[in-house]
Amino acid sequence: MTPAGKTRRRNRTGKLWRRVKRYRFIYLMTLPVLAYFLVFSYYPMALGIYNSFREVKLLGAASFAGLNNYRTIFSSPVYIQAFVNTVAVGSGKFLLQFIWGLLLAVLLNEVHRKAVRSAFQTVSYVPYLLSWSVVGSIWITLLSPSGLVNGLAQLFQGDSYRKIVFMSERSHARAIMIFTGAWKDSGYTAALFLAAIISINPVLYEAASIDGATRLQQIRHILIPSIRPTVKVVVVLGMMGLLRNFDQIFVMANSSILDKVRNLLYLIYNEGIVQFRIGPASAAACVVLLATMAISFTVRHLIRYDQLS
Amino acid sequence: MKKILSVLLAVTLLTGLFAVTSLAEADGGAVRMLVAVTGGKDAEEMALFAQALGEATGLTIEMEKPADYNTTLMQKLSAGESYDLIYLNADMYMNLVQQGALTDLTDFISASEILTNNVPPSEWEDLKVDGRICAGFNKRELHIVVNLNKVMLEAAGIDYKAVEPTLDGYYQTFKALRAANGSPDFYPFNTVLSQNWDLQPWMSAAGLKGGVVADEDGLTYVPYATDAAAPVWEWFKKLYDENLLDPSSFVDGTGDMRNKMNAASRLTAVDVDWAAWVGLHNANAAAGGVSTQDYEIVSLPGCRTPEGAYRLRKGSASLFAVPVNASNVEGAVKVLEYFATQEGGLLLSLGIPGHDYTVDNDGNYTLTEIGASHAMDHGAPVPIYTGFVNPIGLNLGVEEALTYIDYAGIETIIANENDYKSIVGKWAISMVRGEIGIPEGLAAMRSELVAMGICQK
Repeated sequence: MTPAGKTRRRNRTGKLWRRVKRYRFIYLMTLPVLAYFLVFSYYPMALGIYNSFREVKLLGAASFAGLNNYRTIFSSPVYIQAFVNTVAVGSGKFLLQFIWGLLLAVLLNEVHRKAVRSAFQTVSYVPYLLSWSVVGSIWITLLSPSGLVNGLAQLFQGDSYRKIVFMSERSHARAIMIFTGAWKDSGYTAALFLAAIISINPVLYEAASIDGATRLQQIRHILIPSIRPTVKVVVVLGMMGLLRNFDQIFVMANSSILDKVRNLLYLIYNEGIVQFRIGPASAAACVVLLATMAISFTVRHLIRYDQLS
Repeated sequence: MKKILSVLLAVTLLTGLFAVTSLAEADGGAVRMLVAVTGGKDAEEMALFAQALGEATGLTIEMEKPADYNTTLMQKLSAGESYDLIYLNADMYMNLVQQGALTDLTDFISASEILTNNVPPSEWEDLKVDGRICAGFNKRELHIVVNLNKVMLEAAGIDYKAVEPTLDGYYQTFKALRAANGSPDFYPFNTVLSQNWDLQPWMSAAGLKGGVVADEDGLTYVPYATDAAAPVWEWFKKLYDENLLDPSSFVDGTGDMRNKMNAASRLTAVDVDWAAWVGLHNANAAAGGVSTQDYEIVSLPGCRTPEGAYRLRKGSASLFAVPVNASNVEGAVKVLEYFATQEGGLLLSLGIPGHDYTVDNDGNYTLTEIGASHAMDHGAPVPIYTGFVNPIGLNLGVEEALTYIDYAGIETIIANENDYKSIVGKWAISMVRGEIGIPEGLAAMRSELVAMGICQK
C-alpha cells in the first residue's frame, strides 16, 4: 500500500472511531438488543447447524456424523411426504388467505358506516388473535359427527343422512387445513390491505367518478394498483411463513389423516422432542431454514420487493 | 443509598448461603426430581409433597413439575442440567436407554431388599434392556377392561354377567342397546381407534397380542396387522356399518371417549378403559349426586381367546430413572425404595398426611375435602408395592375390575410407539370405513410398519 493509501485508511479509521465515540451512548443502548438476538436467535441457530453434522445424545459426548443426518432425512419417504405436505398446505393456505383478505378489505372499504365497518373488521380479526388450540378445537367440534356441519346436512337431508367424520376424511384433510388456516389469518391480511386502501387519496376516486368510471372500474384501476407495495409485503411475509406451520397440525391432525398433513415442523418436533433424535431433527430444521431463505430471496427478486413504491 | 444497597446485597448473599447450607444439612443430601404426574396438584401442594417425601426419606427433595414435560426434559438434559430422578414413560425409557443417558440400576436394585421383595420380579423383567435395568417404578400399571353402563344394559334387558364373551355376543349386546336407545347422538360402543390402545379385549377373540412380538425365528411382527386379525377388523366394520360404533371413534381422543361414557353425558354404553376408570366414573357420578340406580359402570374382561382364556394388556410402565449425570444416585434409589413401601404408596395415592387425609386415634383414615377432590391420585392410584393396602378402600367397581388382572400382560416396549399407533390407526380406520378391503388394508399396514422399521415382517 502506498503512503497516501495508508494515510487515507488511517483517516477513515480515525473518522469511524470518532463517530463511534460521539454516539457511544446510542451504540450502548443497542447492546441489549444485539445481546438478545445473539443469545436467543443466532446462538441456537448456530448450535442447530452444528448439531446437524453431529450424532447428538441427550447426555454425553456427541460425535461428528458428517452428512449422515442429511442423508437420513433425504432418503426418508416420511420426510419427503412431509415436505410435499408442507408446501401443499402452506401455499394453498397462503393463496386462499391472500384472496380472502383482499376481498374482505375491499368489501370493508365499501361499508361507509364506521361502526358497522369496525364491527365487521373486529369479527374477522379476532380469530387471528386466538391460539390454534382454541381455533382447532372450534373447527374439530364444528366438523365432528355431532357438530354444526353434520347437523345442518341432516336437517336438509333427513334421517337417511350418514354423518361424515370430516376430520378423518383423507381426501378432505389438506383442504380442511388450508380452509381453517386461511379463515384464522385472513383477518390480519385484510387489516394490512385495508390500511393501504384507506390511505389512497380520495381525489383519485372523485376524478374517476367524474370521468364516468364505475365502482368496479375504480377498484380495478385505482385501488388495486395503489396497494401494490402492501401486496408485495404480504406476499413476502406469506412466503417466509410458508414452511413454518406447526401449531395447526399439532392440534388438528389425527392418525387417519396424519400422513396427508404432517409437515416438516411437526416431524422435527416428533423426531427431536418426542424421540430425542436431535441430529436428524437439527438437519431437517436446517433444511427448513435454507428453503425458507431460498423461497424468500426468490420471491423478493421476482416481485422486485426492493422497489416498494 | 450506598449503605442500603450494601445491606441488601449482604442479606441476599447470606440468604443464599443459608439456603445452600440447609440443602447440605439433610442426611442423605439433596435429590432433584423432574416429574410429570407425581406430586401435588398445584405449586403449594408440590412444596408440601416434596417436604413430606423429604421428611420420610431423610433427603432434601427438590421437585419440578413442568407443564410441557417432554420439551422441558429434552431441553434440560441436553443443556447438561443435572437431575437425580426423571419421570419417563415406556417409549421415552427405551429412547434414553438406547442413547446411554440412564444410569444402570441393576446392582442397586438387586442389593435392595425393599426393591426386590416389594416389587414383583416380573415387573423388573419387563424393564430389562440387554439384561440391564435403568429405572424404578412410579406406580403399578393396571390393565384395561371393558366398561359397561349397567343401568343402560338393564334397560335393554341384559344382565352384564350374561354377555357372551365373543365378538358376536358383544355385537348382539350393542344391537340390544341401540334398540333400547334411539337417540341419534347415542352409540352403544365407543373406542379410540386412531390411537388403538384399547383394542386388546376384542383382539383377544383371535388370540392376538398388541404391540410388536417376535416369532419362533426371532423376526418381529405386529399381530394386529396379520391376517389372523381380519375377523376382528370385519367385526369393527360391521359395527360401524350398522351404527353401533360411534363414528367419532376415528378422531376422538381418550378424553372425548370418557366424556361420552360419564354420568353427565351417557352418550355411549360400552368402551374399553383402564381398570381404575371403572371406579373413577362411579366416584365422579356419586360426587355429582347421581345414584347407582341411575348410573353405574361395571366391567368385563372382553372376548375369550380361542383357548378359552382372556387376553388383556397392562399399561406401559410409568417410571423414574436416574440420568448418568445425576449427583446423588444413592439418594435417588432411596426415593425409589420409599415409593415401593406402604408409606410411600400412601403418599403417592392418598396424598399428603394432614392435607389430603387425616388419621384419627383409632387409625381410621379420612380424606379431607381437598383429598377427595384429588381422587386418591398423586402420581400412583395403585402403587407398585405388591402388599399395598388402601386404607380408604377402592372406588365402586374397581375391585371387580382388578379380578381380571391375571389375564393381563405387558406389551414389548418399543422406541417408536407413536409411529406404531399412527400407522395401525390409519389403516384400521380405512378398513373400518370400508375405504379399503380388510386383506388389502392389513397388507398395507404390514408394509408400512416394516418400512418404518417398527417390525421385520
